[in-house]
Amino acid sequence: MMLERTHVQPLTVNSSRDEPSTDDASVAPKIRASGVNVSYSGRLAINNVNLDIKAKSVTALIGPSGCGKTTFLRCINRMNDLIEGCEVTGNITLDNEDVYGSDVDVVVLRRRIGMVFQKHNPFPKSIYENVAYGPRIHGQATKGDDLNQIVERSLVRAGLWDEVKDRLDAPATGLSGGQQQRLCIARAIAVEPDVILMDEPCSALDPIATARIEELIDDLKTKYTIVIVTHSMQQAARVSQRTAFFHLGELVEENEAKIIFTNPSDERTRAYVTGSIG
Amino acid sequence: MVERLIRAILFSCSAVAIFITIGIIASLIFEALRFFQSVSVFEFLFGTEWSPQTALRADQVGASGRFGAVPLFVGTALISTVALCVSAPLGIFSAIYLSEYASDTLRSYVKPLLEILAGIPTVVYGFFAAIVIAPALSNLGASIGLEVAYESALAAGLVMGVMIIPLISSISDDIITAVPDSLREGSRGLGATKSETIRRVVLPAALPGIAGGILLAISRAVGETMIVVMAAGLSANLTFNPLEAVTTVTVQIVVLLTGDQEFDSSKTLAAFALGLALFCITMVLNVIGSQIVKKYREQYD
Repeated sequence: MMLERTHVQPLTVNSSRDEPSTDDASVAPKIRASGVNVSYSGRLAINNVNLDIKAKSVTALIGPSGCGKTTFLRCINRMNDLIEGCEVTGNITLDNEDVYGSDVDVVVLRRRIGMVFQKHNPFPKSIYENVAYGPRIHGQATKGDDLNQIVERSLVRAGLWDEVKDRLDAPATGLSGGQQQRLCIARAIAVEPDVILMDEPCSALDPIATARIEELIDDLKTKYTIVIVTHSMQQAARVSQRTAFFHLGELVEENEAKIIFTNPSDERTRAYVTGSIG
Repeated sequence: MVERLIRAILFSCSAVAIFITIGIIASLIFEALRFFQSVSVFEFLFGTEWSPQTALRADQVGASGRFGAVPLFVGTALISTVALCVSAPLGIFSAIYLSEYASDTLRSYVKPLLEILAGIPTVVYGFFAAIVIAPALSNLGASIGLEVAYESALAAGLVMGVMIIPLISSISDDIITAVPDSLREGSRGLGATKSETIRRVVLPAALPGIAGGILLAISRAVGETMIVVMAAGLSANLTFNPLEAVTTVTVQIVVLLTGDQEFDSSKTLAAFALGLALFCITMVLNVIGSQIVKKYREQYD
């Protein structure tokens, strides 16, 4: 236990944003949030969140309902722009570029930051058309072999290819819940994003489907930066390398998953992960 | 005891309503059958000449009536088509605007306004068509060298189209609103813009339901009477040109039954046959249309 703590100490130093260029910060954060506040029609939902998210790893956001974790997630790809009365202040960067900069094209941003939602939401189209939707929108490929390849590759990566390869023209809504959610993941990775945001992707699924998605998340982290919001602490412990605990709109603590779940430094985190609040 | 009495009263009320409906349909069928004893079904459905004058006295001229209803069906279809060409795009586009773009405040003003449009008595639309639109179209046509009949299908169709805009827009609005937000978010999350999302996700998802709504609107147009009585022609004219005067099934029923009647002449009975045909058409449209709309509304619950 002691060994682990000493081992992680430098990482915690890295995530303090006063010295971004220490030698140990060999891996620059993929996403950096500083001083992020979000309010809905004047009511503060998250307050002064500072968080660095490492590339090609899984970061889990945990916390009780209404703690602001989903709100924070939706700031990263500016999905909060769609909500009337929602105001975001502070700074979020993706690869050192300001996500909220005036010259940012949200279309391009959302191509780089894909999203998977709480409820599987395939379009009422065929399986093929669901995966092809993003590439068509972004003009990566519009027809023929190029598009076929993208669709196949995305479905393979999402672990769905073998189950659907013989019925790509079948309606997506005929798949099981778990398959639909993997289809949504395939749809998200078809546009070649760097980051995938997942908002409680397993909350509507049974344990077996959940296990498959978790395996998939584990595979995907070799290629993508994944930020996952989850209600399940077990899930956060299983899939994430780093975990951030939100409470009442504040980021209480962020650290290696193991530390958050075994030896958190904040009393509120300890209370939550041991089940006495939440 | 009181419970039973209430139950009995309520039951008999609903029974009366149902029996009256059945009775009307039965009389429609019965009288139509009498008509078909003197005029063959084949002539009625496929004959192209409609001049329902029968002689009152045996020595009158033009004693033999012709009962080919095709010109009436074509006239009805022509006017309904014009009406749909007006109301389908306007209704659907306004529904898209209201459900996807309008702010809640605007929506709360515009929706009741559209409902007022739906509440205007059709007789008002009728004289508006006959007194304002028809002469205007006729003059406009004359100024560009087109001959537009004073009682053109175009004038009646345009005004009828305005009348069914609220119907189409209100059903389409319901259907579009029923498309779950999760689909819109999924599309926006992939980087699609708002209009791409509407074109590629929302509308395709809503299309079957909107089609059902349009069927209901067609049924409304086919059965509409007041506007065509005032603005469309009276004489049967087999044409597909919307600038000419045509007549419709409903207009002919009115013509056949206004004034003094003999109740057993073919002329009078023809109205029942027309009524039966109209009833069959609108019933089929209504059943299919409302099934589609209903199925669609349930799909995402």
